[in-house]
Amino acid sequence: MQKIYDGAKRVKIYKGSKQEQYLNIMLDKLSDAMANIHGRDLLPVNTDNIMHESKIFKQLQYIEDVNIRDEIEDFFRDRFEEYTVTWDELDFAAKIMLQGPNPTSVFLHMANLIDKLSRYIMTVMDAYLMARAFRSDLSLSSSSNIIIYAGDNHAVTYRQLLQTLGFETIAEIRDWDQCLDLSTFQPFFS
Amino acid sequence: MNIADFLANLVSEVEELDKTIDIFLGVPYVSATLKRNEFLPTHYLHDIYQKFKPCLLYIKDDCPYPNLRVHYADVRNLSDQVNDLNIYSYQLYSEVRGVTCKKYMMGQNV
Repeated sequence: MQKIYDGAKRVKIYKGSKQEQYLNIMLDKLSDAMANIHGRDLLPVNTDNIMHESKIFKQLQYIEDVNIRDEIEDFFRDRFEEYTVTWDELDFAAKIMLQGPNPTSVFLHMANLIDKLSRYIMTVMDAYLMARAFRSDLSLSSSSNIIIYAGDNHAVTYRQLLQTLGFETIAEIRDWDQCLDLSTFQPFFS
Repeated sequence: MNIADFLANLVSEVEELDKTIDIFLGVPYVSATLKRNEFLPTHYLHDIYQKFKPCLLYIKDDCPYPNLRVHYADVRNLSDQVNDLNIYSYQLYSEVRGVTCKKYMMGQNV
């Protein structure tokens, strides 16, 4: 049996080697995740919508400084557009898989789509968190003390945005070092 | 000292200065569908989540840090789906390359 994706519609079920079955499962799950994204208020596929009709916007509208609000919105708008997986891309993956599976090349294509989807989902959290941190009642832009504990992929994004907003890095971990010299920025809060 | 103890000490120190700290954790927002968070002991969020869990609850009576506000940061609800995709992606990679990795086959977070 074969499974062919025509937009969101599954036509047939495909069964083949173990590698093809894994590809099939990935295609299936990728399709489900995309359908979930397209069907949710939080994650409409249109980038304008995601910034203006979501939990992210709810936080953005509480940022009093218009310049900061615009910078954050522009920053994450670009990210969402960069990481959007389209149905055309998913269709293309399904078609090259059905043309005669070359697991390695199809895998690379699928891995690229999964990476994009992961980054898109990751950006939802990042946009929400940064907008929340700059809300007037917390206001990272004033003298509030805010600590963010998240994975490094998130942290890289936060650093980039904060640098865009003119923040200065006063200490950082380099290379594979796991320790930060706290003495360089004592006291924490004055 | 792990990061959870370090932050707890920091919060206690700052309390004497009459300052407030906001901590954002990459922890999924608890909703009607996701009633609670559980992390494997090896997960990087396990210790810090356990330490500050009382401060994340809607009723914070058991939170021992009056000058601390802890926030959920992860409003996504597709994380599991993406993790599944990454696991299958690795399984396929293993098939293609002829390697195996039991850790991923056991369904741990990636």
